[in-house]
Amino acid sequence: MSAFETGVRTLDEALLGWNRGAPPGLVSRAAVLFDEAARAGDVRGAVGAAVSRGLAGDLDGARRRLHETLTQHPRCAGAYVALGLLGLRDPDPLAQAAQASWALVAARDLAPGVVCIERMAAVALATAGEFMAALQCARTALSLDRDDGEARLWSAMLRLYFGGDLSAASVLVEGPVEQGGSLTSPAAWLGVAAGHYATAEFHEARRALRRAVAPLKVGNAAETPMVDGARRWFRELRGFGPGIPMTGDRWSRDVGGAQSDYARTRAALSAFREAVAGDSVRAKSERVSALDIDGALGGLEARTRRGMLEWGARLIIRGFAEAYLPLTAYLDAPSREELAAMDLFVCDG
Amino acid sequence: MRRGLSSRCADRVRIALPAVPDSRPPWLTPTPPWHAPVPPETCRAARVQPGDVPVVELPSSPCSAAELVALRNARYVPLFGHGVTQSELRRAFALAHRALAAQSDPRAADHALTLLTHPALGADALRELAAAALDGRIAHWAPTFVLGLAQMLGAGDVQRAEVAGAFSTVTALRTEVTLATHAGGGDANAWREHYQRLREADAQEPPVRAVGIARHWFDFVLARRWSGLDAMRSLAAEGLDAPSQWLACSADWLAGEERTRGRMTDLAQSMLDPLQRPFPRLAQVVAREMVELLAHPWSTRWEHLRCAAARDHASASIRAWLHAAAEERFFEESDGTSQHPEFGELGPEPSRAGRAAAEARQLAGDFLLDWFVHEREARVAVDDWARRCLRVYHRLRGAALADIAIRGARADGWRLDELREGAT
Repeated sequence: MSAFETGVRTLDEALLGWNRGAPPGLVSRAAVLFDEAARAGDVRGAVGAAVSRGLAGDLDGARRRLHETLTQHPRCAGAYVALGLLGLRDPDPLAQAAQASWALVAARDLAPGVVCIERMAAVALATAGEFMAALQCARTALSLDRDDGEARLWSAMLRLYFGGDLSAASVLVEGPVEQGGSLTSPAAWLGVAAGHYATAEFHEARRALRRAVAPLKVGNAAETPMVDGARRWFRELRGFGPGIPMTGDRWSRDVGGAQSDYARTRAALSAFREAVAGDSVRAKSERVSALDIDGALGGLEARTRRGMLEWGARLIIRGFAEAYLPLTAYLDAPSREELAAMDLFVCDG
Repeated sequence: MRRGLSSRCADRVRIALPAVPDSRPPWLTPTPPWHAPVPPETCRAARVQPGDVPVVELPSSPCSAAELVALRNARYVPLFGHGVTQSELRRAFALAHRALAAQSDPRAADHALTLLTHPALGADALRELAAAALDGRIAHWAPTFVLGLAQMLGAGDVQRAEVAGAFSTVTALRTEVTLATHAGGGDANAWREHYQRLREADAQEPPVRAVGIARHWFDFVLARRWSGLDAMRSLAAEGLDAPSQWLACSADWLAGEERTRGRMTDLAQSMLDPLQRPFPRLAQVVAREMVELLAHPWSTRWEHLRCAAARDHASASIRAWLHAAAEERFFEESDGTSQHPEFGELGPEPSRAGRAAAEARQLAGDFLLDWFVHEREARVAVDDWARRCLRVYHRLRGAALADIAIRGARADGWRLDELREGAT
């Protein structure tokens, strides 16, 4: 058996034994074996060594190694996937989001039609604030595998908070329930909390949040930042309020009240429109038309609605990524599918 | 400085008399900078003999080609270039009169502006004037007159700030210096920087209404914030100087109150009437500029509203959401979880995503970042209107200063009619 294959088996064993992190001895051994394979000229060994070190906690070193590998092998999709994976598993995913999304978009170009790459690209792009591109990636992932729970979660989050589609809340709520609560990570209950809160089911939302942080131990100082991160995101979700912006009674509050610049600009435009409609000769001489003002009014409202959703997504979806990704990285090992996308594993089928 | 005089007494006690400041400015020795020769190629291009190019002290009217060459090649004596003397102060009056006389050369104002500073000296001569006024070596109203002259002549942002900066030590002119320096920005599209400094000046104690008005005018006209208009109206109700009233009226006019046009005309007239005899052309210039400024009320209002509509109004929501979040005290319910220490009180700071959004919102809404709006045409039109409006505002402020200075001169026994006759 070659050093690479032994490394893969060791890494697999380490991931099977994942308990709030990989067993340190096994990932170190896998890294050494992958190093041996890399010295023998196998680029997969270089990727495996970097990933093993990243999973052992040396994320900066792993990223540096991956960049070196990419300099030598710029068409190695596995290295891009590994770079994206490590970016998403960083304790501060927002800081790494731009690099992760760049790497995963490159990986998608080199290896199109891979579900987990599309899904990870969706997550990275959403974290980076590129919501439209993220939604497209999530939909591509779902079209490739309609049972992909995580892609569905991100797609629904994006539809709800970026698209303003309240029906996506039910998808969020039903996600873990459909799968008997056995979705990949308990962190997925954060998505359920978002779904419940959007439909004003406040008690259920709070219960879902508690389920998300339930595996974390009370009094464990290392886990407290993750609990606080989830709570902070939920607090902002409550500040954001149920429903979606610019609907019903919310819009007045969302744009800043009756004395806001939006409301007063709108009122001024309406008053100006009346004046222009009342004196068409003067309007013509001043090159102003009621139609132009109508256009400006419509544009103002449409742009404000769109902008409101954009700002809401920046707050809620990026906040969700900030709370959700460290939790999943802590509680769950990378899936075999993700390792397969790095050429470290061969999945049946 | 001259050496202090001293005398040695018999008992060897040394008595030192205070040093008398030398009134002769340092740049006059060994050769004044305005004696530098004009490059021969410049003379050839202008078809003037190098020997014919004079050192200009007062440009004639109309200005000859040789004088123009001199003015454009720093071969002129800036105001108070010969030192802070009464004759230089007379020259300042004569210059103002030549620039703003009824039949003066159309470019005379530009030539007069040139003579305010010098490329080699900057505003050093005016700085000497400020020091002399503080020491009592020249009439206290002389700096007021020179600053007013620069504004009346329509100096651009840079030159106005340079002249005003020379008088920054004169306490009586502090507000005028602040406004002359910071209320501008249209010439180099530096509205944002000017507004920032205006805001800092407005935050200082005690508050000055004229500075507050200028700041709120920027808020409304250039940042399209309606709170600026409200603040201006409330300040105007408390009483303002005439130029500030005029500026507040211009904002009202832009907001659709077309009746303020008459009020603006009355205010301008009240400020320019006392100067009608010494500087008759000023009223004509201001009248022409006001006609251009107020010619198209609907078009201007429309461009302003287009800019206002193109702002990112949605960014206001972030503040509302984060404020509502900060008010939340969840997990305080007595359902068992609150007893765990990590489920205790959460710090007030927002998440990283919330902080990033709030910072982005602050950057976007801070000031004038609606420059990024797609309505570029409208923004350029409003910026141009604002630039012209501030130009008239500074002319009026200058007129008010010149009026104060002329009253001071008359009180000191100056006979301005004689000066005017001498100037012509």
